[in-house]
Amino acid sequence: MRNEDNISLADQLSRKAFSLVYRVIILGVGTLILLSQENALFPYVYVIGIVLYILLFRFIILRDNWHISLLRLLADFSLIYLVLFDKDIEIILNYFFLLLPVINAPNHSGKKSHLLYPLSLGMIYLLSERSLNETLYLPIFIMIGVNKFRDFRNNLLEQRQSLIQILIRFFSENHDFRGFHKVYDLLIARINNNKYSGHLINLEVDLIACFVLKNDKLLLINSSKFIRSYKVQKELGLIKKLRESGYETNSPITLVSQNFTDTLFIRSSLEGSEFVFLFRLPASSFGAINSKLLLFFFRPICGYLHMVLHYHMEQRKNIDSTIERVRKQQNYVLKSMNVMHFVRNKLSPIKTYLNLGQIKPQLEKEKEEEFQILTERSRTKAQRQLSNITKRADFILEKSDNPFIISTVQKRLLNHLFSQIRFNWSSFFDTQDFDIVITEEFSEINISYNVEVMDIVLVDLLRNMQKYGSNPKLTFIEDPKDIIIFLNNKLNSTTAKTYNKAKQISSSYNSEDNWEINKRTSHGLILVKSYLKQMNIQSEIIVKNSYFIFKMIIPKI
Amino acid sequence: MPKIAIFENEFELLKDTFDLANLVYYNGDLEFNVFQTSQEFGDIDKIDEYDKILLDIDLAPTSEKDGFGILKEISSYSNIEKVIIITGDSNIETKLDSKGLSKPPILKKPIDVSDLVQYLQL
Repeated sequence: MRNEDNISLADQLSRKAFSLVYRVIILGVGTLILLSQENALFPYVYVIGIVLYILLFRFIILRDNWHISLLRLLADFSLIYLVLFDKDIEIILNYFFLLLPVINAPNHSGKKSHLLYPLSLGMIYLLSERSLNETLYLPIFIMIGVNKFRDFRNNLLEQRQSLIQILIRFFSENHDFRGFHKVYDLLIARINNNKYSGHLINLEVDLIACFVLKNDKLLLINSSKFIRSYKVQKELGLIKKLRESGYETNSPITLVSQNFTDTLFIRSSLEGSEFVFLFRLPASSFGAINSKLLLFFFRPICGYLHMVLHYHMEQRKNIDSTIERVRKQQNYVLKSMNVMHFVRNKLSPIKTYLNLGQIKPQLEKEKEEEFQILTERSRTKAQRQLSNITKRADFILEKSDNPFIISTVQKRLLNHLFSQIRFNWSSFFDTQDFDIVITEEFSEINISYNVEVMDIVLVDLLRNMQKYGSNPKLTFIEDPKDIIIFLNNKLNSTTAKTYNKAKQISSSYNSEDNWEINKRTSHGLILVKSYLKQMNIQSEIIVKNSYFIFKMIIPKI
Repeated sequence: MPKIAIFENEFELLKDTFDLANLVYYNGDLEFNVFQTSQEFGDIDKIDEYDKILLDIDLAPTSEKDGFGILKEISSYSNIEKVIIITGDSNIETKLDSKGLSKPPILKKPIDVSDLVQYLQL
C-alpha cells in the first residue's frame, strides 16, 4: 500500500470518528434541551424522532456516498428542528444546538456543504418565526467566512502537498538522472491544472529550469524544455538579491535569443551548495500577495528538488573519485606491464652475453678473434642495459606512484566501522548473526583505518564468505589494546579436499616469510593482506574443524 | 644460405644475438635484412625472397603497420609458415587470438641464441 493510500485511509477513519462524535453531541445536547426546557409536542414524538435518528445512523454511519451523506445532513437538521420546534432559539444552548452543523462544517465535504449554509439560514428563519433579526444570522455568516477561508487554505496546502507527492513518487520510481527533467513536466501539468489557476492566483507555469550557483555564475543543470543557449541578464545583481531575500521576480533572462521577464527565481541552499530554480509564469502578476502565494507553492518543491540533485551530485562525485582511483590503478598496471615489456627487450644483450660465456668452450679456434670482439661489444651493451633496467624498475618500487599503497588513514570511532561492516554485510547476507563481546561504548573507542580501503577489504572478504561458505557470523571482542574482529563461516563442503585447500590458503596467508599467495588459491587475499598491513591491522586465517575464520586485530588509539 | 627479413625497431639490442648465431652456427653465411617500418620493406611479394620472416609487434612509431598488420598482410598473400614472432609481450598469444590471427611460432625476448637457431631451422 502506498503512503498516499495510508494517508487517505487514515483521513477516512478520522472523518468517521468525528462524524460519530458529532452525532453523539447532537443527541446529548438535544436530550439536554428536551429535558431542561418545556416541549411543545408529546414526549413520544421526540422519543420516536430520536429512535429513528439512531436507527438511521446505525445503518448508514459507515457508508460513504453523496446520497447517504445528504441523508445524514437532512436527518441532523430534522432532529435539530424537532428538538427546537417552538422553543426560543435566542437561548444560548438552543442557538449553539442550531449552529452545530455549521460548526461541524470542516468535516463536511463535497456537494453536501453547498446545502449546509442555506439549510442553517432557513432553519433560523423558520424557528425564529420568520424573524429577520440580523444578530441571529450574523454568527452564521461569520462562520461561513471562517469556513471558506479555511477551505481555501486547506486547498492550497493540499495542492502543495500534491506537488510534493509527485516528486516523491517520481524519484521513488526513476533513479536515472538523465530523465530528471521529466519531473518538471509532471509538476507543470499539475500546477496548471490547479483549480485556483486563472482566477485566484493566476498560477500558470510554462517552464521550470534549474541552475547551480557557482562562483557567482548561474549554470544551467536541466530544464523542462531543451534550452540550447541562455543568458541571465544582470546576473550579479540577481544573485545578490537571491542571496538577500531568497527569491526574485521579473528578472530578465534570454532563452534561445528571446527575452523574458515573467520570471520567478527561487534560491535554495543545502550543505554549502546553492541552486536557483527558474519558473516562467506568463499569466502572473507579481503583486505582494501573489508572490507570497507563489513562494508558498514553489519553495518546498525547490527544496525537495535541490535535495535530490545535491545528493545525486555528491553521489556522482563519489563515483567519479572511485573511477579516478580505478583509472590510476589501471594505469599503474598498464605501466607495470610496459615496464615488464621494456625489461624483456633490454635483457637481450645480457642474455647474449651469457650465451657467449656458454658457447666459448666449444668454439672453433679460427673464430676466436671475431668472438672476442663480439664479447667485448656485448659486455658494454649488457652493462648499459642493466643500468636502464634498474632505473625503469624504480617505477614499480616507488611507493608514491603506486595507487595500491594507502597514503592516509583516518581516526574513526568503532561504531563507524561496525556500521560499515553491517552495511556491507547486508549486501551479501540475509541474516545478521553478530556477537558483540565489548562492554565499552563503541562511540568511546577510537581506531584508525582508511574508510574506502576498508570497503574494498570487506567486500572482498564478504564475497568470499558468500561464495565459499555458509552460516556467516561476525564477532567483535576486545582486549586492553585491540579490537578483534572475527568473520566466521562454515566451509561449504566437508571433504578432505576442501579442508586441505582451506588449510593451504590459511598457511599461505599467515606466512610472514613468504606471504605471496598462489594466485589461483588466494581469492584476492593478497590485496586484502597488503591493505590491512598498510593500515596497521594484523590479520590471520584460522581453519578449525569445518570453519574458516578471518581474524583482524585493530589497535585502539 | 638462409636469408631472413627482420622487422624490429630496436635491432641494436638483438644484433649481437644474430651476429653470434651467424658466427657460431652459420659460419657467417646468414644473410639478414632489418626493417624498422613496414614501408621500408615495400611490396609484400618480396616475402618470396626470404626463407624466414622475424616479426616484432612493436615497430617504429612511423611504421604504417605494426606487427599484427604485417602478419595479416602476409596471411592474405601467402601462408605464414615462414613467420616467427619475436616479442617481449608476455600476453602475445591472447592478443593474436583476440585479433583472429593465426599463431606462428613465438620467440620471446630476451632471445636465447640456441632458441633462435632452432626456430630458424624449423
